[in-house]
Amino acid sequence: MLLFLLLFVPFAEPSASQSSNYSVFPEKIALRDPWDSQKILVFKVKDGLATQFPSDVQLQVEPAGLAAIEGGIVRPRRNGSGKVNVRLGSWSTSVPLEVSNLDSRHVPDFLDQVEPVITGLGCNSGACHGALAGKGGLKLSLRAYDPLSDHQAIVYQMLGRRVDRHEASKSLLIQKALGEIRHGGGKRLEKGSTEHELLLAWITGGAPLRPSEQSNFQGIEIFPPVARLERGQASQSVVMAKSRDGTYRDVTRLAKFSSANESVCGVGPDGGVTAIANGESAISAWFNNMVAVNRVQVPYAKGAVTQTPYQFKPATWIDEIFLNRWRELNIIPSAGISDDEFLRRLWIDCLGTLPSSEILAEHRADQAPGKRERWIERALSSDSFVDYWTYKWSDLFLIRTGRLQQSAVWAFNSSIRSAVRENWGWDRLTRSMLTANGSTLQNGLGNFFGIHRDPAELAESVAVTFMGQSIGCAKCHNHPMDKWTQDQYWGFANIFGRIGLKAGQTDGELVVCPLPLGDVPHLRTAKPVLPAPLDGSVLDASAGADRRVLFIHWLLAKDNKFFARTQVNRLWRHFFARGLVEPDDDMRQTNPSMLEPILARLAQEFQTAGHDNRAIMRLILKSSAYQLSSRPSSNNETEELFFSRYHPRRLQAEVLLDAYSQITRVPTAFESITPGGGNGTTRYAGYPLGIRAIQLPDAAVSSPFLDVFGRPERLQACSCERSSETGIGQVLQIANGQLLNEKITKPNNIVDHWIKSHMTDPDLVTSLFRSALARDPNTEEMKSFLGRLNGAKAGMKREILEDCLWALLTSNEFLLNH
Amino acid sequence: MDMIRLQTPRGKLGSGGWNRRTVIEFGGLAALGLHANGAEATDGDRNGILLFLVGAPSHIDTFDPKPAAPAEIRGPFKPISTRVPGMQISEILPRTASQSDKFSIIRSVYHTAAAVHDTGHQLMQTGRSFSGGIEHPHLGCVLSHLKGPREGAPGHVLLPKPIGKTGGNQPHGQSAGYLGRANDPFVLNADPGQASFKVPDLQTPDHLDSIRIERRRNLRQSIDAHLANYEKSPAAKQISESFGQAIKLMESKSTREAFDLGLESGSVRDRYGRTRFGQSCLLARRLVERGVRFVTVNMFETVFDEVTWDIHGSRPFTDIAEMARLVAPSFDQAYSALLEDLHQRGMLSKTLVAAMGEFGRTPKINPAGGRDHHPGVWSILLAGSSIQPGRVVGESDELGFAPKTRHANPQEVMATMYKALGVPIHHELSGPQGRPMPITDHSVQPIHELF
Repeated sequence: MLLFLLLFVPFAEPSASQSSNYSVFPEKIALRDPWDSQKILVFKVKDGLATQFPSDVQLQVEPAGLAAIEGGIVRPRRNGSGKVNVRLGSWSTSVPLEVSNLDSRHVPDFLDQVEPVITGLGCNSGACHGALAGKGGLKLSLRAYDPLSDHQAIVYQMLGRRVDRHEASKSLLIQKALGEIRHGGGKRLEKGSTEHELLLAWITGGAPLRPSEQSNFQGIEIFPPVARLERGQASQSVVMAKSRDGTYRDVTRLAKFSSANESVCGVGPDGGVTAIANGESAISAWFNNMVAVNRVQVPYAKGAVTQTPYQFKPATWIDEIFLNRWRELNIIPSAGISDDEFLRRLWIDCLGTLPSSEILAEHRADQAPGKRERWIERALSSDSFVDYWTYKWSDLFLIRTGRLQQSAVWAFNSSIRSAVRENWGWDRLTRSMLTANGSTLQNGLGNFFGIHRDPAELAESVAVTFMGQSIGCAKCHNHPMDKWTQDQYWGFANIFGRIGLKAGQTDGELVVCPLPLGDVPHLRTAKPVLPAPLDGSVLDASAGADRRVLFIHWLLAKDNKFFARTQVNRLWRHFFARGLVEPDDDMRQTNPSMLEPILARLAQEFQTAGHDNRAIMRLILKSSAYQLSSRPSSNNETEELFFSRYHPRRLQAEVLLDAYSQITRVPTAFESITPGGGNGTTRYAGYPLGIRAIQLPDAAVSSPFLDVFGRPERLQACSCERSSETGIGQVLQIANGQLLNEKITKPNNIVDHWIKSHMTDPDLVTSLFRSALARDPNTEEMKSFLGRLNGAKAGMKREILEDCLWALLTSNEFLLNH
Repeated sequence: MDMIRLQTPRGKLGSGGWNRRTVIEFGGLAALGLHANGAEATDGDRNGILLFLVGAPSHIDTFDPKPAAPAEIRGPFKPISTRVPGMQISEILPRTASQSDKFSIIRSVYHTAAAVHDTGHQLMQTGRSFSGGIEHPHLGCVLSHLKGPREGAPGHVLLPKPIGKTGGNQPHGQSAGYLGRANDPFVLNADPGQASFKVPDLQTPDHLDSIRIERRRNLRQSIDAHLANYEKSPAAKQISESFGQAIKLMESKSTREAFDLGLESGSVRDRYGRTRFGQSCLLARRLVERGVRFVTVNMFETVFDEVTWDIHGSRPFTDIAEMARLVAPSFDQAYSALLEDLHQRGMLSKTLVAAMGEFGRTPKINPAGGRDHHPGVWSILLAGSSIQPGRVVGESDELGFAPKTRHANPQEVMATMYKALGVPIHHELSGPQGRPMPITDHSVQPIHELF
């Protein structure tokens, strides 16, 4: 990227009063073969960012005849040196131009030039010849991931009819693409275009394939790296591919573009971006299995930031990054939350528990300095923390009766619980789990293999859980939307091909032992693929090596691109309701984060801190960004990507149920288990009355309430299994359903306690609000509630209090973590 | 106009009988022409029922037989005649064949997106792919949004559950997306095929009379009223909307009765088939009868845990023979019953009935005796409303591989359905950040051969 920094040389006019600060990209042009071209960009530079891309730029080649210019693109005509004169109004500059290799019999390279053309024209897309079975008898690899077999197919199959080396224009490949012969895919190629010329030249040159299969390209870059536009404005992009010898080539025409946030920016097939609404989007360019990302910002109303006092005070480096980004986009963050609000939010997010009136009172009485930090520490070291996070990781590792028996469920749960209580590093937990051996009752973590017995399924689960990758599609064919091939999938699955599972001696016990032999056959070829972690190098498959150990070594390596990022993203998502990458199991290259600097540094600090989950939580909780109110500021109501306010989300099912139990003082009985799979419901006496929902080890515990409120079934490793939607079904449950109504009416519950306490009515109302909402009622609310209580006839008090309690426990405020 | 006394289901009346609100609503219902026995609203609007055949039926084995093709393509079934001369369908759907005077087939539907289930779910229910973070709305939600729900009934109901993961991402296109939560479908989340089926928790508890219910609601409102600051958040809005809709649902005798399958005769229930899909189709008819504008029936929720149309042949999927034995009959019975029933009640002319899967299946039978995903071409069935029945529109080629004539992409199918629903197809909805989103793109036209 250093190259591009050097290009930001604003062309300053002598007169300081005007700011016609234009720049041109690139700073020099080298066209090295007949099919090379270079798109020229002219843009204004402001605050170091590219903005305004005028369309009326005049370009002229000197000497004329050296090259031709059309639509802002320079194409070579004869060898030599010269320059391109650039003029826009009164501003002008020139760009040196070199043209070479035009008359040498330069044959296009199959890997780096022909394949990109084939991909760019869409020939090898999943809908056409890149389909699993190909089309019309021609099968190419999806988006050219296998050039060797593509070359075979094009040149040698079908008795070599596809290419005619003596008369290239008669090649089937050319004629079909031009639409001269009936072609199911229609006309894909323009006669006389650069692509047409390139294909002809390659065929005429003998349709060769370079012996070394490695691409000369190292990577691609999009220019400009950041653009700032106003609504309705357009910008352009140039994609440059860097070769190993350090030279660059313009590949914009053959790249594929997508916008991560289409409601903010749309991108056309030529890389032209249109700013539609305020916000920011990441534009991905894909070329020859390489990806690059740039950003387009569309700031909110200019000047808004300076209009109101900017109250945000950064407490951590996360806040500094946010502050800069908000300034760039003119987003005004919301104000900070009050102490009461902070307590409730902290308790729910950290402990899955609502603060009781006693805790609320204690928190209010605490006036010593450093209050919030101390209460954060208190939360992180409490017993409820252990309960809640054991539950969360049980969601992740799919602990439920069904594939595991009861004893195994308890064993697994208890191992996780120990790990959380002792604050194991995430790397230690992962390593212990994935290399577990022996009895799964003694080493509970080994039950991970009891849940996923099929190596392919195990591989998919590991990929989602520890690498944030969804690879399932690649089981049967190359992944249609990501870069994983079927071979890579089965190479990955083969890592888990030597895990032996034997029945143990007691019920539910399994014994995990690594096997010395064994491989997982590829679904299509029936031959095993050398074990490799997706795009990592092949693991040493020599006998005696436990492949899982080698895999762990790769996964936990300092330069591993997946492990730390996946976990910190997951933690972030928990607290902010939206990941730095969304969704959290889709961390592919073409789904970039809008806040990559935060993600990258969080991952790094996570590693440095020994993969300590609590350290990252502490950092997040301390940040001012986490402590922002959910009330919108004057301009951030529609902004959703940059965390300028807290986004209210419904309480999770288990948290809600526990809150109801806690406040009414009526525990929920868990008395049966529904394992699923048509096995009905069995009574189970192992849960003592008073156990909280977040303490349950098993997602199969019967509870219609939890099901309606979106408890995940723990059948698939996907955070999408848990639902936080609220529809009519959930409302009916709390309005008419048995569960809440029984708790409210039960004798000797909180209502009776209040009645027996002979509190005054105002105190009653205050107690109601404090226990349910962790705050005091305001004047209007007090009036409304008092009004009902005052008018009460004797004997009606209980009924009215019940209704008051119901109203509070079903209010929006209660149901939301805000 | 007679005021019909509204009684709570157990006949208990609190003092006052029923609350003021219900009386007004009920008077209003009568004024709209909705009778207490729930006859269909006479407002001239068209309703819709979408039967989504999750898993994707093989077109060659169902609606587009290829008797002249080689054995490894035509499969084990023969075509049979229908009531329409020249229209033949597979022998495994005899009852459907007997109702061919009510539906038309489009045999040239195709799409060019990835051949995974969830893209088909998105494309066929919204006309668009999910990309760049934009959630496009389901057509039922668009209809509900544009016309508004009819009094007392949800605008769009989804039976019995949303489509879950089918091997890719969680399918989009099942909700109201950028139109807002208020237009999301009411999801039943229960199995109408069960003998014990009822909408969970639809009735208020016995111990709460109307005074208490009123008090609860008013107290609850008084809490909400003063915290409008985060009320605009999507989560809060969703809760508020759901409360509003739940109340309407609870108070609408007509809609409550719609969900009560016990009110339907045993013979009618048998005619549809006592399966989850059969009873869902029956429920769909009842709901439309009582004012619901659009009902989506998902035949399956996932392709993994049950036998569906997704006949890859190898475990855990079934093959062609098992599909004919286990899946096709329940469709055949329920679909034919639905068309016949709607027709006999005079509802078919006002109700669009669409049946479709998310793609077709590979013409060449695979080594496991099944067929794989094939969005290259497939068939869908449209019936009712202004769709002219008994027509076959478009053809696939001799091998059932690609469209041969009259190609029909998902947007064109969507435009056709919208036209039959009386929705202007190029109308612009208000999308994210107010961006105008045409219902279908401006170059797209409905398939005129069906009208």
